[in-house]
Amino acid sequence: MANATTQLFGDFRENLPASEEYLTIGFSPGRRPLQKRWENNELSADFIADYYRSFHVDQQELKGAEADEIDIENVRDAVKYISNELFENSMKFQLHSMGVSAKIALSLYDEEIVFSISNGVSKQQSVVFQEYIQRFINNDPQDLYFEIMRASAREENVEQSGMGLLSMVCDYGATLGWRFALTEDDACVLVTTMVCLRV
Amino acid sequence: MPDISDKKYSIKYVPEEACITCEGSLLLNGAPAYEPILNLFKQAAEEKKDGQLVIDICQLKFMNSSAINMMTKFIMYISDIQALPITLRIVAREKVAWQERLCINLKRLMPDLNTQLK
Repeated sequence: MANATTQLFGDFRENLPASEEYLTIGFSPGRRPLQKRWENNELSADFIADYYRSFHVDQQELKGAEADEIDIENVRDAVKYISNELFENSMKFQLHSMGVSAKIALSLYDEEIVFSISNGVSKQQSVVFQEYIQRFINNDPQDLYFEIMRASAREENVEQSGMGLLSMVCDYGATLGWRFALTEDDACVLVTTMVCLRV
Repeated sequence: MPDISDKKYSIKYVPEEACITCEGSLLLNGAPAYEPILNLFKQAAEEKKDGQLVIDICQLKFMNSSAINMMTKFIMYISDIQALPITLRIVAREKVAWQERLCINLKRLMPDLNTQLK
């Protein structure tokens, strides 16, 4: 349940059913130079995507269905894309002074994959992020996606455009939700982004 | 115009063939990191503005959202900001869903864009 120090946005499911197949990776974004860590994003995203691929092939075999290689590769690409975007976001926005590791958890279900990534941000960053989320929730995602593409093309170096999150919804049909929780010492905010992808 | 390459990707422009070939994985960090590639695209388009330019992404394995953003900036640059009279064709793979979706999105920004899935 959300309380006074916790806020939920979008399609965030606090009580996910237990998954028998899951993967959790923890990392400390502040421990190594950004460029070095950035290079590991693809490695981690590939690992998650291959983990999913193996699960999916097993599921198909259990059902007695013939695995469609093209379909599997396309879902693998989707899992890799979403994982990589979540890693990139957590590295861009992780509050390094917060002594908590960022964590990505992947839960696999028969027809759905749920990504859940948590990282610490400053209170100021959380306000900016919540403003973006409100814009995200209150607009048609497709309209917002193209609006941002057009605006981005006219401005130099527009960072933090949120295109990665929008593309998960518009290009991959994912649903997104967020949980913001103040840390016990009231110093910063733990943000959890949840992405549900139907497969 | 020199090609741009790294251990994970290469962007090659062959003026005689009016073709830019993109290969590998584009996973750079944010818009500033994509400026050299965007500038190569823009220079090639300026050079071929009265003719045709092909961008072949068939051998591109992966793009992050910053790379997609770079592509949309390029499309907006030639179709809207500079309104170049160029015929632009994107060649992509039909069975790779993200490439097909990218073509659809770019065509929405530039209805005259010629997309070829093979």
